[in-house]
Amino acid sequence: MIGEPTTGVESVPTDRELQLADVFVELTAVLTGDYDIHAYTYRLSRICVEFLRATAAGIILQKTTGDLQLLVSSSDRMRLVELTECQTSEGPCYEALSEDRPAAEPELESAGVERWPTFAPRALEAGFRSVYAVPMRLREKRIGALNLFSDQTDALDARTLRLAQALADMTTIALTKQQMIEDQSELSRQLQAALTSRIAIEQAKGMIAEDLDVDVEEAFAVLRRASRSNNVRLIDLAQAVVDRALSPAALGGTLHSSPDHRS
Amino acid sequence: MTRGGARREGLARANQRHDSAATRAFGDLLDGLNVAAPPEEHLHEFAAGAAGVLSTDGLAVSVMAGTSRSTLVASSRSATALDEIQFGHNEGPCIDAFETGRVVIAPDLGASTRWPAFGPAAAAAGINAVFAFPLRLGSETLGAMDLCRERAGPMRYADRIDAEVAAGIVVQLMLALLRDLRSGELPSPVEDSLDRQRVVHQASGIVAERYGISVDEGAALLRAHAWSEDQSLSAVATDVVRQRRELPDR
Repeated sequence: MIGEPTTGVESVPTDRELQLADVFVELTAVLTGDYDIHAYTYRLSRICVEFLRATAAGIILQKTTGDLQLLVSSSDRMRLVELTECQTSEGPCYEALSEDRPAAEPELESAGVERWPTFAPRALEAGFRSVYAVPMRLREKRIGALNLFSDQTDALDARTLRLAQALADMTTIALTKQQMIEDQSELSRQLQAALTSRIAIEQAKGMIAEDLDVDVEEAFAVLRRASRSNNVRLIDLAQAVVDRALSPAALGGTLHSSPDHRS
Repeated sequence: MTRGGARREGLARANQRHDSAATRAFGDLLDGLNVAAPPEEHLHEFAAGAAGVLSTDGLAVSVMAGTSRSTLVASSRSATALDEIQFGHNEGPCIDAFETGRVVIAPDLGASTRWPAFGPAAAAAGINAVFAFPLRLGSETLGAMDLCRERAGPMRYADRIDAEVAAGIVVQLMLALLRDLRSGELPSPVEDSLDRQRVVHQASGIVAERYGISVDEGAALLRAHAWSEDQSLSAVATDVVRQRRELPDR
């Protein structure tokens, strides 16, 4: 047996297997660098159409409030049906999410109408004959579902749905990473705002004190009064003084004639 | 499991990626934290313990943004002095670590000319070696963690890795402290630190208005003046605010 490949001819990947490998490489490569989440999810919906041979594919997310929100659709025809699904909480996506397993309705025209009395007629009207959804989850947290619609009955088999689940899992990682990056920059932005606003107010107090020839306490009172009477945030007023968009002398009167005060 | 318990376990797991006596000691420090205590206390306890584990004389954690710097926690008198000297002169290892996002190693401040104002002042205060680590959250840098030693001398590579693990834990403990940021509230140690610097910022504003320069230039002018008169920055600033003192070099 030495030197003999034990699996023989099966070890040569088929064209479809190679295509699948390419798809996954494409979806992982995007995670290593900067990527646009909207371009990413749209690309995924196109992959579902081209590679899983669905007519249309889309992603619906569940917000923390429990409401469903459409993230992406590969076609406008599908978008309208998915929006119905979000509003009525009925359909394959809602079912995949709430039961945490794939939902399939290969015969939308017969069994589907009984199963989803509001959703099915809308989907049929749009020309779809079978619908599928796989859940997207991160550990115990359910974040949404990937929807696959087809113009033909019984379009996708169980093996195809397993591939769809793998693609949905990849997307979950991308979405989670995106959320993490957004949370981090938001925290950093808030920290920056809090730290710099404190010093801008002190700097503005000094500038006003010097300009109006008053002490810093009185300068602060001038700043506060101007903030109240013009209904402008103290920090925005202080920053405008520091940036010299607003002269301290103008604080006593009305601010509306000044070149740039931010609201 | 309590939320505090889950958090400590998460931090301990992060430690296990780099296993050493020091990282195991960090795990013990985290386990020893009083779950019921406020997050300020957690960070303080960890800072004090980690300074010892890393064989240093002090650990200071600062948060920074733009030209705003403030101390979140300092484990010892020398750590407090370290931050004060750096912020006073607006130069030093922790400011460089924050601005570059890189580790800054200063093993012999007395012999270094990298920070002409900070170096001699720190050495005079009995601080001869400083190791500064950026506090990073993803791609953002929130501040820096400084370690200081009285005696000059390099930091071993293994110790540096341990210190980077400590910096990662500090970031996590800091996040708990920054929980009220959404409403614009800063932790009380940061407010206190900013409060102590108020007079400097007010004086910067006065000088900026008087000479028609920016507030940053005003601050630099005050620093230069304090330096040439061999006075502390806050003393010069207080004079400017109280007596409208003229700065003769303008």
